[in-house]
Amino acid sequence: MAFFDNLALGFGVALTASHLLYCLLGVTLGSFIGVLPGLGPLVTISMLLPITFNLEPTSALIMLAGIYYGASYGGSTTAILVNLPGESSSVVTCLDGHAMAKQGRAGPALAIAALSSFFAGTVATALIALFAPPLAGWALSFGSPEYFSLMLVGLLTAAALAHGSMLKSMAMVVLGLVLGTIGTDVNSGLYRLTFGVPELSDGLSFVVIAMGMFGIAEIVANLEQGTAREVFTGKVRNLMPSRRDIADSWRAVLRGTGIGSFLGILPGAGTTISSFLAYAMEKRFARDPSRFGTGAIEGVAAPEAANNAAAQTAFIPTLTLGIPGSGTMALVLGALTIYGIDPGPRVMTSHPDLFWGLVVSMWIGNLMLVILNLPLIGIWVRMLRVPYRLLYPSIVVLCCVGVYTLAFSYLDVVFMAVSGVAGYVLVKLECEPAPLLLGFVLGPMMEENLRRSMVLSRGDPSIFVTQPISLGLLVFAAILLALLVVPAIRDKRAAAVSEGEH
Amino acid sequence: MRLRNQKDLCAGLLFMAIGAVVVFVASGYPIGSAMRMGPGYFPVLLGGILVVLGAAIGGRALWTGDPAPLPPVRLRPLLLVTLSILVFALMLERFGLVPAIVATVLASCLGGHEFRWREVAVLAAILAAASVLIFHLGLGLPFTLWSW
Repeated sequence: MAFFDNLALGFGVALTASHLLYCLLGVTLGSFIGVLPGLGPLVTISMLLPITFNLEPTSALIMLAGIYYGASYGGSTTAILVNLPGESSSVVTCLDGHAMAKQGRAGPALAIAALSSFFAGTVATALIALFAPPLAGWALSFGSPEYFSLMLVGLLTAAALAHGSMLKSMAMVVLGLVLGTIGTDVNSGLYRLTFGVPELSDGLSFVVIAMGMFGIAEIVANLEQGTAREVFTGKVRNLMPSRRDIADSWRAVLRGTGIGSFLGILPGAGTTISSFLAYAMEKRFARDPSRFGTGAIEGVAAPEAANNAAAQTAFIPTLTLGIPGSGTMALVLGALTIYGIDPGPRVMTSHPDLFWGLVVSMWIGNLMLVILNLPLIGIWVRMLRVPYRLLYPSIVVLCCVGVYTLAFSYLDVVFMAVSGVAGYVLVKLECEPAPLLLGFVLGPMMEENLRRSMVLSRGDPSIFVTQPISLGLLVFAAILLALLVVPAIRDKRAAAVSEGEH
Repeated sequence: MRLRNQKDLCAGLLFMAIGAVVVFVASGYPIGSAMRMGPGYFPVLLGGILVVLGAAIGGRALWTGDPAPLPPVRLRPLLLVTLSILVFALMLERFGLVPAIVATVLASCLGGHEFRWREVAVLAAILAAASVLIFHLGLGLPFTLWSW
């Protein structure tokens, strides 16, 4: 069976000593940085990306994936111990996880988070192995119009599902697309929007934008907020969850895994929504919903399973279609192009060792996380006590050196400072920067496919609705948008009405 | 009546301004036709969409009454953290890695709430040493360590 052949190939690649080492290195570095307060996976990945550029592609990608779930897991640790979610997807983990920690049950909370993440990761990895090949095979028949529509769907859903106002996220996507056009136009060789700076002829690097908008802007926002941070002073004892904990949470883990696996595949939906949804569902199905928020173990198990499953299945559209579903996946996609791999359905056939090696090493990475994290919790707790006033200068230095090593250009460092200020302003105006990153990474591909489609159709834009696959994708996007917009209108109207009554 | 949703209005105006600049600059490039798009076509299109979206965001802010005043901005962290990065960019190639890192740590620490000389000095020394170890010795990247 192809399924087992593929996995065998994957194990062959992933189980070599050097790849195991890179996986371990990635997972450890990811958890190490991810556990530091205020550093989510996006910042962690963009900070550590330059280190992977010197490796060969398979090792680099394996290490990068390790950093990714290491950082995600680190985020859950801080959520449980100090009520500080490293990223939006672990916000709900705070509710019951931190409540458990306050009751002195931090150990079982961390253990359940690790075990349910591992279970979800295992299921999601199997799903990738099952569904990625047919999806990529289907995508091979895509022409330019289909690709353009697919990217449009991805960007629209990403904008629709981002936090806050949809119009603003859409504007951020378009802003990202604009930034993506900076540099030399591939068809005419003309410099576009470089404003007379010759160094911009190669375009901006997505690492520069990501570090500035996420890393630096975040630091400034944290410094502004002041020093009020909860410090974890307790000790973590009794890691093992009791038999009752397991009995209480296994159904939640199953449900969370299901929700997460499904939502992760959808472009733009991602980890945050799946963890929120999983939590809401547990609360609804619970015999006693009032326990939630006071340390219910299902409230940790379900969202952790969901966000980890989604984090893994998000690789499916990224690797098979070349369409990233989230800001983090946009970083992974950008990294692929730097490693010299053209993302898309051909990756699986042209680099089978890379693809299957990555899939299997994801599972191994998850296993390593469980094995590593339980004994290393003592170290993570100590890391959490590092005061921010020592932490943020270190992040600034690491970002500066990392960005400089991309191209040994001091201008990249200047651009990072500029994107930092821009990110700060945008966040102040409640504009989420993640959709911008998606637009930026997809921009050049989108323009290329738009151009080719229009050449094919002799300038007639109806090509996007006369091609069946393309039409289907657009209809899908329209339905999704309608579903999201309609309740928004309803809520707005309800809010307006209730305001009128006051 | 005082406008309540200042955040959205500012965001809308910002997007409109960026869109207008993009349209203005990119319309200087050959536009071509829909069938043979020139380098200006896509950016002008995007700039136009950005102006429309900005207008919609700003326009909606005028209609809806959700209060969203502009948040207070504290300039000190913003300016000093930005400055610390610019200092790194400008010092690195002239003075080398070690002085650049020391200056960056100094400037960024000034943006925080507490500044303790001894702590900052130790931190700068550790970060400089670690960077030299990791990037210069470990990864073998060609940094000038210092030059006066």
